[in-house]
Amino acid sequence: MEQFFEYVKMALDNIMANKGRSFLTMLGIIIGITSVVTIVSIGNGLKADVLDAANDQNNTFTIQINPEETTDTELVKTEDLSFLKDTLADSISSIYVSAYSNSNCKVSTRKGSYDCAPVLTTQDYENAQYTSPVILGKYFTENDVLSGMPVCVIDELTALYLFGNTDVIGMNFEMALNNSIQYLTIVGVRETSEEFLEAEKQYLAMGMDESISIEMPYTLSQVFGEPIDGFSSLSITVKDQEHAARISQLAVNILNSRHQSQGDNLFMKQRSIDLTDMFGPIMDGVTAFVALVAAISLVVGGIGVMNIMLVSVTERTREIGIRKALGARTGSIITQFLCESAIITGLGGIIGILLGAGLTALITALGIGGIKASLSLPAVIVATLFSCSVGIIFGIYPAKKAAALSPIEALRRM
Amino acid sequence: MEPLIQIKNIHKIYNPGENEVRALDGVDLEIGYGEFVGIIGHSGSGKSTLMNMLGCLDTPTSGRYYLKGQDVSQLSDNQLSDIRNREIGFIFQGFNLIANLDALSNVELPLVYRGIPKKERKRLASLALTKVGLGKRMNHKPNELSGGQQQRVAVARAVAAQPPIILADEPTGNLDTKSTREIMDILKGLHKSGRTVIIITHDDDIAREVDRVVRIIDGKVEADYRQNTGKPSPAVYRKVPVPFSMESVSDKESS
Repeated sequence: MEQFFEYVKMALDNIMANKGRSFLTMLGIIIGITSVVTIVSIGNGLKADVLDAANDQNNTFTIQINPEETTDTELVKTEDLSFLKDTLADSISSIYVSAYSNSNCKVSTRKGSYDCAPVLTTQDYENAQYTSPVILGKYFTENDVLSGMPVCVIDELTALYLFGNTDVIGMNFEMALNNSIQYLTIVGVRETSEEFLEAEKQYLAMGMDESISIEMPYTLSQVFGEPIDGFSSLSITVKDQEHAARISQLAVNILNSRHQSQGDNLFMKQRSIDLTDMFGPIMDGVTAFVALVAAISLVVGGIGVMNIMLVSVTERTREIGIRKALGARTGSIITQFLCESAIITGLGGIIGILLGAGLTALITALGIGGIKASLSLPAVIVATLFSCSVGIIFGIYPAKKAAALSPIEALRRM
Repeated sequence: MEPLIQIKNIHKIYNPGENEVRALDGVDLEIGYGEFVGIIGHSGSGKSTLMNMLGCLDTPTSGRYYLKGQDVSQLSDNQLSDIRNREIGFIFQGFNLIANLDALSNVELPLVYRGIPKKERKRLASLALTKVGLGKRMNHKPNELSGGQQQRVAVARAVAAQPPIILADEPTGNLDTKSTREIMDILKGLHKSGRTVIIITHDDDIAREVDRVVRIIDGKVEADYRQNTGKPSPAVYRKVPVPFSMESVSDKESS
């Protein structure tokens, strides 16, 4: 082992004696490893983003009245909702019901009048999936719902359309629905995200209507002369995706037993498409393809190393002859030259990993394309092993050539 | 007692066939422990081929070479490497130092290949450099030394591992008169301390300084005589006293 370190030292001495050339030899490996690490990390980030989005959807499922068994009278009642909410409180993050009016709805202020489709719901809708937080005022309460108060929650964008500013708590506007006109008081305003504003601009440019978002107690439907006493579906978001299947089945069972008269299949669950299953393999395929391309660049780098080592063997014929005359065995020469190429590629690999990590951090910091690239540990390990094996594999031929030199041949060359 | 070196009817033939070159054509030679031999010949006489044979750098086409009684004429490359490392110290005309290593590291090389631990190696190498008068230039690279100094580093390298045979191929060929004198004095000193010193040269001035002259012409030993009165003749065979045990470390590298 001690002897092995001697060869490592010899290799290092020689690399240090030819710094410029050693660096140029490394360059191919550095570039190869940098691109492998960076690309795999970006791929990882993209995959994580897509899967996160997919997981979000996987957390939510909707329970619907089975159309084949439906009767006009059977609907999800608010009592069902509160019962499920109490029973499943520990494992769900939100549960809500919502309905839309079948009739045309128009809202008007001094600034203008707009078509809209108000969401008729309960206080539980505050935390429904994909909704933004309420940033002004607060959501309407259970009491508001029970007593059918003419209140509503809008979003910042709607506030701007209706009033020209977002300071609208307590303001009224006119809603015409089902031939009846009522004044609604704004009690809360939801945030409107930058992305949504961007999208709205494009929709408007395409000639679409303004997006008016209004949420109000479902009991108000009675005031408008179109009473709702139940909902045809119910949405549940679970805290832990792993339990989604079990909890959805549990919820269906509870609902079915609460509506016993209608048989066992009145309610059925519907889950959003499993995006994980869909995107996972695609992303893996893309990553594998890119890694393959990068691996080819590493092989090219390895051939570069072999080339330089071959030149080095020719140049150092005399040195090899001296070493052999002094008692170096074939194995000693091979080890020395293999160490040299392995160190060059290994060092190139380390530099490449550092550069790749730096680039990954830079891309994330600059937010190019909104990518959150995350350094992939397996990529780093594979890159290191790969670059070292490139050094050894492509180093074997030159090393053997060096060791096979006969000492007199080697010494004769002046 | 068997001689240190015993060569029996050695032939070395290049390009066997029509254009064959008989570099060595039936050479017989015996060299005893502690001799000071000059192998003299013009270029093309076969003296370099003989030196390669003696140095175990090359194997003969036919014939036998017994070194310390062991037949080394048909050994493998690795076995020859070990013999060179243990038995022979080389001094070349072109110094043959490794350019990117300093004097100390150059002298250490044969000790590295013998597998001697670092501390002992450094001690032996610096001792050898001090003996050739380069104790203060151990960390100089070859290109920072004069020709004479470089050759003295090469001598230190040849003797550091205490081999019984010193084989010097035109050791003063690239040197000025003063450096030639220094190197010859060192070689004579080595001989006096009991080592077998073999000098290969075409230079008659050098030839006058050795005890025994072996003249090679056309691959054959043309003359073999003793000179410099006061020396015992025929050759006295005696063992070299070895100052430290090499046998205990000599096989470290065989793995």
